[in-house]
Amino acid sequence: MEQIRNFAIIAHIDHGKSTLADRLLERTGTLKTRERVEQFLDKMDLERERGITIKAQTVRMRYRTSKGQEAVLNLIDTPGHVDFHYEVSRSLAACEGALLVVDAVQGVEAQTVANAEAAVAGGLAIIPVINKIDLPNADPDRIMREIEDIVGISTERVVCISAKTGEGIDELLEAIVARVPPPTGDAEAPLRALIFDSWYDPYQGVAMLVRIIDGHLPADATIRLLSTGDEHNVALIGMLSPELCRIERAGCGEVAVVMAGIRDPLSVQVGDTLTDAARPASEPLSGFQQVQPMVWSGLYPTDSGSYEALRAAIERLQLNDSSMFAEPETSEALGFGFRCGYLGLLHMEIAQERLEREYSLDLIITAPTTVYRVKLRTGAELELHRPSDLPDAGAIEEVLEPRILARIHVPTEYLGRVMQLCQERRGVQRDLIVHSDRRAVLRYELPLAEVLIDFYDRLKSATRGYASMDYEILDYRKEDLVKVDVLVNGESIDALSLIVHRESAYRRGLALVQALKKHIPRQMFDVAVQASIGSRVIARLNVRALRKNVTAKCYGGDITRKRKLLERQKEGKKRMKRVGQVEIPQEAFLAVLSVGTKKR
Amino acid sequence: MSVPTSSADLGIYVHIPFCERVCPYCDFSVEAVGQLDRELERAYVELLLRELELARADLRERLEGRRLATVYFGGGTPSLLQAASIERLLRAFSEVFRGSPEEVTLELNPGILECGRVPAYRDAGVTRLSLGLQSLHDLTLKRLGRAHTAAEALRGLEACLVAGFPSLSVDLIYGAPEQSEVELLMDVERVIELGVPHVSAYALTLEPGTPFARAHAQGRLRLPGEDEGVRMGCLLRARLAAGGYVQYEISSFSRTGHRSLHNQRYWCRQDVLGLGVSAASLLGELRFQNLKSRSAWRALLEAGRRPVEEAEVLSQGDARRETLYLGFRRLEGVSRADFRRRFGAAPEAFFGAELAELRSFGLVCDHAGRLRLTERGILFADEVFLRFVGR
Repeated sequence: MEQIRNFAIIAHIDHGKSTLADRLLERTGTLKTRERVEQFLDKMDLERERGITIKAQTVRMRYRTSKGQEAVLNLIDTPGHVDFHYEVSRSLAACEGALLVVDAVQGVEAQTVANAEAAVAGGLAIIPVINKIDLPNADPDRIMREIEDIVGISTERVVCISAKTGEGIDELLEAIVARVPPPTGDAEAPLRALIFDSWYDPYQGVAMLVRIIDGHLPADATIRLLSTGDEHNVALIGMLSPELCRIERAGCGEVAVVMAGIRDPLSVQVGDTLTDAARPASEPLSGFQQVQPMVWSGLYPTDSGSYEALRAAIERLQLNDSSMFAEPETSEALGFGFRCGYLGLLHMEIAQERLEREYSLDLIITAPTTVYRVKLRTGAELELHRPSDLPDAGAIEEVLEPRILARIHVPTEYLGRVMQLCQERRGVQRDLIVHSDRRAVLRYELPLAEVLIDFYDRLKSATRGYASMDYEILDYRKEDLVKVDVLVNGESIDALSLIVHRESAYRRGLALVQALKKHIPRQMFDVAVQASIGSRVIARLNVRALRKNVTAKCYGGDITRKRKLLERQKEGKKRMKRVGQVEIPQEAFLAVLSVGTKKR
Repeated sequence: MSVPTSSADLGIYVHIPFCERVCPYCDFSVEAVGQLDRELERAYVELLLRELELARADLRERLEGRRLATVYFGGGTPSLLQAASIERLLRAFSEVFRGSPEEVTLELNPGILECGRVPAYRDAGVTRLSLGLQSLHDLTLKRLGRAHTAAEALRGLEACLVAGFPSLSVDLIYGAPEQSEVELLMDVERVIELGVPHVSAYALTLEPGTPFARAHAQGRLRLPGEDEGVRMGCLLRARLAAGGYVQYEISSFSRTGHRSLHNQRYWCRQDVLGLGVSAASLLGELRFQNLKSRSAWRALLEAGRRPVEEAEVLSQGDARRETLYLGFRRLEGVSRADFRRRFGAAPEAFFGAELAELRSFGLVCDHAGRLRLTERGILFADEVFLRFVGR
């Protein structure tokens, strides 16, 4: 146990976390240079493509210090994006230390602060690291001041490195062994292991990534999940180094992969405590605070025959992404599907893309919405995950919407534009701190709903990509909110309803109707597309009827050719959803998503 | 009036893939050759004869003993061929098949050269001319990229009329760039006045990949609006009806006794053997189409092989769908009795849901034992056809 160092790397996106991880693997001989794939820890294709880490990964390394001290280093990787706070805090729960990596040019950014706060709150030893010192415009002195001023951490023992060139990596490894404390825990006590991640292996079933807090886990144990009492025989204990290697026991303080032939993805909860059925612990570990998903959207199979496949895919994805929620829902327009909850917009996009890619599903995705609290005249209270569930205005006492406290790091020259954007989104400024002549931190209270739609893109373009943002949920506040329904030839399409502030209802309604008009093909009759609040129509556009649709010529050579053209048309129609007599292509439902997500 | 019904007879389609120039709206298999070189003409006719021989050998059981009902020279511009070539081909056909065809159609451009050949075509055995008039207005002809003027078109038309062919058809186009309703009506008036017994009237269609389609996409082509186009079609149909023409197919209008026997074979699914580049054939349940590139077509023939690009064997289901998909093009529609005889049950037995829906949309109706398009169905015929394609 004295040899073990469990640590994480925390950083803002692009500050070089994954490259540093690669370098550590290489320098400790865990990964040979020649078999190196760029950013080894970013295992998912999606992560490599987007250059971000979504899922925490873990790897064990062996290191001998310059003084000859042997150490086992468990690196627990963490995602950097704001939406994945939950993943960060889970990973940190398995660690005693953290490397806080800051880019030597870009300096402290929003997620640097957010992640550092999480590490401090978790009682971790923090080693500040300034990366990319090989860059010509690197300015470690300024960055050190920023770390002290903005993050509030002493930089007396900062380690300056270049993950790219390898400079400073040895010093960093020495610092990890010297400054990250070994795990504490009672090796003699009954086994208590914290499940901090899991995934589904097609051959082995559920794989659990655990941190042994007390006791130890032998390879022939029968394990018990404390929350359910379910017992399973261990099939395999392993460690990732970086490939999975079988081990005979996982000792106190270690990190291990446990497989026990569990086939039902829903039976394992991340945050649960695992114990040895032969000598069970009684008290579970404190686990994690269950997260509340704040962004919800509908997920439907394009082909209604794929509903079961979608269900199975969601269950497996949830195992790997316990912060994604799903409940079955039925839409009059779209049929059977799921209402899924996410931590944020990026989380939603990633989850949906993973479903499409890893499980080869075609999905219809409805516009994201947040969680609304509704107080009824009867005194009852509701939590809404989908706008179409909002009761009639007459039955409602008040509607509350979630607000966030956003912390936006921005170069001072863009302050004006960012403030303007926040004001447009019903934001209220909390404070503004100017840290130097070039960096400022703005804090705004904003309705979450206003951030869901195209806020990040607008922020990025307003600041040429130099702003970064992090947020936390603040409170629920009563607002003048209304439901905008969409009707196509008089038929309401539940999947397209929106809840918006009364002031922006007209603008949003019109944008919706315009997007739909663009995507609904002309039919044999006029199609009226309307947005309404209750029975009052606020926007209306007509998709004009086709005047004719007839092939003029059809002689010998045309017969097959025109038939093929018609067959293609027919295939296209099959993929449309029919509402009343109107055929609506899937793009129309997606178009609604992009209402506002593109720059107006 | 009568439609050939004997399954034993045959139509022959001969494709002539040459044009003086290629019209910017055309997407047929043609190549611009200016004046057709005599050697090229001779070589092409030779290859057509070789194709006939190969087909005859290869498809002996399908072709042997057939009576030849119709021949159609289409293109391209078949009138680039000399009458002697036409005669040579017709003679070859009559050596292979029984009887002499009731109808031999030749498509003709109203250029001066071809007009001089008109009597010779008649002597060669052509019974029906199909004249690519398109318009009788210079500006419209020019915008359509046609080689002839209105005056030439009229002279050509008159030459055809006086040559004494049993039948004559003209093509008219509507919805052409900047064409007006009045202009179209004047064209129709003139055609009626001259006593042309058959008119094929086509709405200008932007075929993908044509210069017109590109120009339109780039906003360089001004076409009559959709409403105006539909109105033009209505005016044209009403005027032709008043002039004694029966609309017997979506784009075909005829005075009594002048329907195209050959074209009706396509809509009634009667056998047609296609010869030449890109020509299509239907022989029983076999549908096939020749290669669309002349050099590839020639290469196969020279190698002693039939120049077929794609072929499909139609199932009973395919045949049923085609019967409706093609049969609805004729305004008489599909005879229930014929359908039942051919397929053993009423159309509803196979297409109950489709037909019910089409009736409810007012696109299809029943009349005197036949299923046919309504007036609205004529405008939205593709919506009807759509139900009878695919699997």
